[in-house]
Amino acid sequence: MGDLVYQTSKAHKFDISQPEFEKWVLGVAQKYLPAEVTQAEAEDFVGNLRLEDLALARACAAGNERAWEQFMHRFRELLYDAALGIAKESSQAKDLADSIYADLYGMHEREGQRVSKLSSYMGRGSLEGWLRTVIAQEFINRYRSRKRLVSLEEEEEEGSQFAAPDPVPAASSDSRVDTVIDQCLAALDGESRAILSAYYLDGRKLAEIGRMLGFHEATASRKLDRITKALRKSIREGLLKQGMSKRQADEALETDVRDLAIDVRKSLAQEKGPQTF
Amino acid sequence: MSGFSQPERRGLERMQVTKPEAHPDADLLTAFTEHSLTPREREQVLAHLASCADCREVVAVAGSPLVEPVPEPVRKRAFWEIPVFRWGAVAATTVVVVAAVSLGVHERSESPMQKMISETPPTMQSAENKVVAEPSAANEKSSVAGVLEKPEFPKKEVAAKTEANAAPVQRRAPHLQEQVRYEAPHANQDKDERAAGGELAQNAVPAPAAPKVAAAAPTSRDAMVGSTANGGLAKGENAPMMAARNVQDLKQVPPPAAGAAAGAPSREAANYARVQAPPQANQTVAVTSENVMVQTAPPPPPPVPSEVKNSLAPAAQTAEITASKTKRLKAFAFETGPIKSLDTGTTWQITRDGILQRSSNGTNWESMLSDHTFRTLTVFSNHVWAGGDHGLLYSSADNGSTWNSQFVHSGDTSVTGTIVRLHFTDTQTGSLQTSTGETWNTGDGGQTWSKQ
Repeated sequence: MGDLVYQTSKAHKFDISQPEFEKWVLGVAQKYLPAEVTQAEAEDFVGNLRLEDLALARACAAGNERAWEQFMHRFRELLYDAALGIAKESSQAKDLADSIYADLYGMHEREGQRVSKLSSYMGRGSLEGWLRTVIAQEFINRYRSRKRLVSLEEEEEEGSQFAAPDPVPAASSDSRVDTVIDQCLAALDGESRAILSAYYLDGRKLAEIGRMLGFHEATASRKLDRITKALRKSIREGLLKQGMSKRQADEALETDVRDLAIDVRKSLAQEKGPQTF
Repeated sequence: MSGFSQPERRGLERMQVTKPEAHPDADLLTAFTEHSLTPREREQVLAHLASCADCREVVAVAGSPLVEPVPEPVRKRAFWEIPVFRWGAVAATTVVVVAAVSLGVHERSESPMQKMISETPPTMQSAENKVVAEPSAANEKSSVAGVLEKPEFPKKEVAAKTEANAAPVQRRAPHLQEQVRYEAPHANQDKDERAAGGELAQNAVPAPAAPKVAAAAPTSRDAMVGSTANGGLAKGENAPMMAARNVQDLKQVPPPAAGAAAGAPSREAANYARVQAPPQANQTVAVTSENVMVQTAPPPPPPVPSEVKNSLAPAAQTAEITASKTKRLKAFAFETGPIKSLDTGTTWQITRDGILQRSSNGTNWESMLSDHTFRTLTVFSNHVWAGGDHGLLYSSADNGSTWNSQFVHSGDTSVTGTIVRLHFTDTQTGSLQTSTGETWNTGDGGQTWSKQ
């Protein structure tokens, strides 16, 4: 299988020897596969790796010029297009793409050795997708750090000193409600919880959720509806088992009065003053 | 959608971990969005995403398209998607086609086409008569007649004849059938797509290698619409051609081969010109003996599903064309599906926004590789190829469970332009055509390519 893996990767184009490439593949397998794995599982795992992309990325990380030419030919436009799609603004996108490119090329050194981000690519997904993920991570990190560095003057202008404090999620008046809700949420599978979090906490649209999780918007809508109804049903049953009456259970799941007060407080938050002219 | 109460929302908030111990690395998140994880890994990543807003944001942002796609409308299941009605419709259509063919045979003696033939020069007339008089099946004759008649006939009669033409088209060899299917002028074609198609045709893209009879001898109907003898597109044509199914398509029939193309008159006039002028070297009207052989050959046995079975692999079947795909072919130059693989039962399509989708039941669609924009696809059994801009090409050998990015190149030469056609005769042998007029061939499923 080693020969087949090496041939598929076309690593020879970048003067990467078979033992060297097999060593990389072994490193990837050791990282992701459990200690106890069957031969079939290992072969399946290796078969699903993006071997060509892995060879290209590792050759680039090693400084192979031919690999870099191919990388630039394939991904130069994509880097900028992806950054633009993520940052939505051209100068920010260019800045982001240039920064990523520097990391990929290996502008930083560690112990005298050039360190390229491409050496961390493992071939589990496509190189193109991996680049988009790296750009997204960098963008989110930058945006977060920029938020923390907002100046005091800017905060005063926005009147943030008058803003109401962010409401702490208030506990229910009956602790049984929270306990049952936590249990029912924990009993859901990961996909269901991810859908609920993305929709109700992040405020994402169904189309976005579908894209994230790999199904159509209509499917996302049906799943959300089914999950919400099933969750409500299981919570109600749990509350009844805890000794609540049906009416008490229904009331517990209605909107809390304190939440109404918080909404009113938000709507009464200080508005910006009129523009001078 | 049912509501979500505040206590439930607070429960979700409590579920969020502000500082998770370990986030999935970029590889795992990428593999997650590309559906390359094992089920166990996918569940682990989902469980993490459920409680980590940061990683949800990364996945959402990394997967966001460059242009926000228009949401697909929810398709109600039309009556023809119900199997009973679908096969009933097929049976009814077959009856109508047979009736139309029978009527066409009886009406030929009074057709304008006969007048036209009587007015053609003797040299051409012999060719015409040869075509018309050959004791072939009525379908082939009416197909020739139908093409010649098109400028004269009112729309409905031509439509009837083109329905008759549909039968011989379907009975051709699978390769030629697909070839014809791809060659598509459309009255409703978007301007840009028409330009892309025109650009393609003007660069004289020949078809890939094909079975001898089909490649060397298209039917005279194809000959009439300007195919070269090798079954490819004639040089200098303005648009690709297809086995037209309505008069609007037929009016788009491009001018004839290169020899007559320079300074060619309008297309309709060009059709007449082909009839009137003496045959030239590249004159597609000239019916060769091979064409005649095809004309006279008995039609291969129906039905369509057996027709498209792969002779190399009896168990493997090529794609089934659905009714909605025919409609789509009229609107676009690209092959965007829906295409259903009879082997796997999976239907594939590319939305107007370039999203590749698959469905196991034709109703619920699942997006694949949604961070890419695709223009065309092809399916052979459980193998799928999807192409797009800048030589973008992805393939799957397991019905879309995993995907490989294909780099179309040969030495230092790589593909340019948008991939506008993909064609595979089996899981290994295929070709692609680009908007810049390039044709690339592969014999190993897309691992390696050579430029034609």
